[in-house]
Amino acid sequence: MNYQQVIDWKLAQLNQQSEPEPSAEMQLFIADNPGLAQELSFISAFWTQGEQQQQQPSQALDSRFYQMLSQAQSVQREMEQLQALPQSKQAVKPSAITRLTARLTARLTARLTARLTARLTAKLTAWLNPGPMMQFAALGLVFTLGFNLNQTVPGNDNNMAGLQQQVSSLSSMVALSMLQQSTAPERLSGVAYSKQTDLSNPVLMARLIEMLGKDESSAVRLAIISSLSSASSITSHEAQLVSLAVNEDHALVQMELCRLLLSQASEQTKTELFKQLQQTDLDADVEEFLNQITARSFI
Amino acid sequence: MTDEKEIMLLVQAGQIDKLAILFENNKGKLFSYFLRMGNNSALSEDLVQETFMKVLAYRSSFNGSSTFSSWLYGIARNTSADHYRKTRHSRHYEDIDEIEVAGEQSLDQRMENAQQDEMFAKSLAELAPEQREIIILSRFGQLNYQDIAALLDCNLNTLKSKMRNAIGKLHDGYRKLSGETSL
Repeated sequence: MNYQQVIDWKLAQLNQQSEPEPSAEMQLFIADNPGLAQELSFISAFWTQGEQQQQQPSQALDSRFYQMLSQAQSVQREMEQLQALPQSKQAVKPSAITRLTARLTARLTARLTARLTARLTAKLTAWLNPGPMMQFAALGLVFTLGFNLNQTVPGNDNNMAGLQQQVSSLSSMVALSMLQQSTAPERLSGVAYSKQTDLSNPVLMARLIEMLGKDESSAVRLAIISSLSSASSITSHEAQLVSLAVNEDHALVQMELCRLLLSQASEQTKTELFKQLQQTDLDADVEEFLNQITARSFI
Repeated sequence: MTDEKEIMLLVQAGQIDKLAILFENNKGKLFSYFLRMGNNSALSEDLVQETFMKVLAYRSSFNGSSTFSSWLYGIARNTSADHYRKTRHSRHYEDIDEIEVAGEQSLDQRMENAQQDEMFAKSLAELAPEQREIIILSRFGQLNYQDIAALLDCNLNTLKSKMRNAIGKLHDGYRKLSGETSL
């Protein structure tokens, strides 16, 4: 038994982490050491002092905390809506395409069938009269035409590509319209629509970049970054994105912007990004994030 | 009471309303921690608020290998360090002597009617920052030796020895202030 062990026990006892009574051996040791007993008495007094009148934080802290919690819950709901949206749109999209494809196929088939039937009828009428040899030849022709009718219609692929382009333009228009709405959930829907296109529409792309710098909802800005990460190319907007990343106040948005640029931008842009970030007073978390990213790139 | 670690894991899983339970359980202790570390009331409240914002923001980094308290105080220490790093950058940094004086002044105002408490507080404020922090984490944060050692990244036996020295210094300071040879 020594001083250290007794003090360790006392502190644990005061923090309710050990037995309330010392062991018999410890009691004897304390009794033999009046200096230790005095020290234990001081520790007890210090650890229990002013417990009743401990200063408490003000109500203002509570209201600030609950306001922050409420905002966080609201952002969480927005993000959940955002995650749910693309799924529901995906569920709608195939049926719309299917309907359009069916309509197009029906129209093409009807047109071709009508044309071929008319030609076939005319030829058969002419050929059926001359003789059995011509009848046999006509029969062969019917088989050939029937076979050909069941093959891919030339030009159908082009029509399909055109159709997809129309659907993409339609999504872009819907997205642009919804991005102008006043509420964040509506704008989030707009971002979700934009994700269904390949972001090749320059107007839509410019609008998204503009909103990335202006939109007051961080959930919308995060959604835009997510949408941009699936774009076929961000080359023409790299300089703007660097500027936005450097000037962004929200740590999470700033980190996601940096992540986007570091994963998709050119080496020159990445160098420029690091150069500009080094000249700013970065949030400690962003700094740590960048350090981790940089360290990872060397592994 | 449900284990705070379990509650934090629920927050991590998306039930962020549960953060309110953790806030209510810890706001007072955390406020005392910042206050006793030499910050004034307003700044201590700001730091409590910022600490909980970070708890929410970095909830995914809580892996449950340590206690919630240990993790929380780790964030609290970083929050405080960040604050002083930033304010120093913007030339509003108070050096440690000024912080201690501010702490003493606020304690004087608060504890006019509690002479002994005032002397305890003064003795604590006069300790070196590291010694003061060890005592505060144990006394006001109610962290055990293992948690404090993990938090300060030091060996358990070294921490025990430091704690004993810190208590010895605190006791000496109290004796000087009270003019007594014993409590």
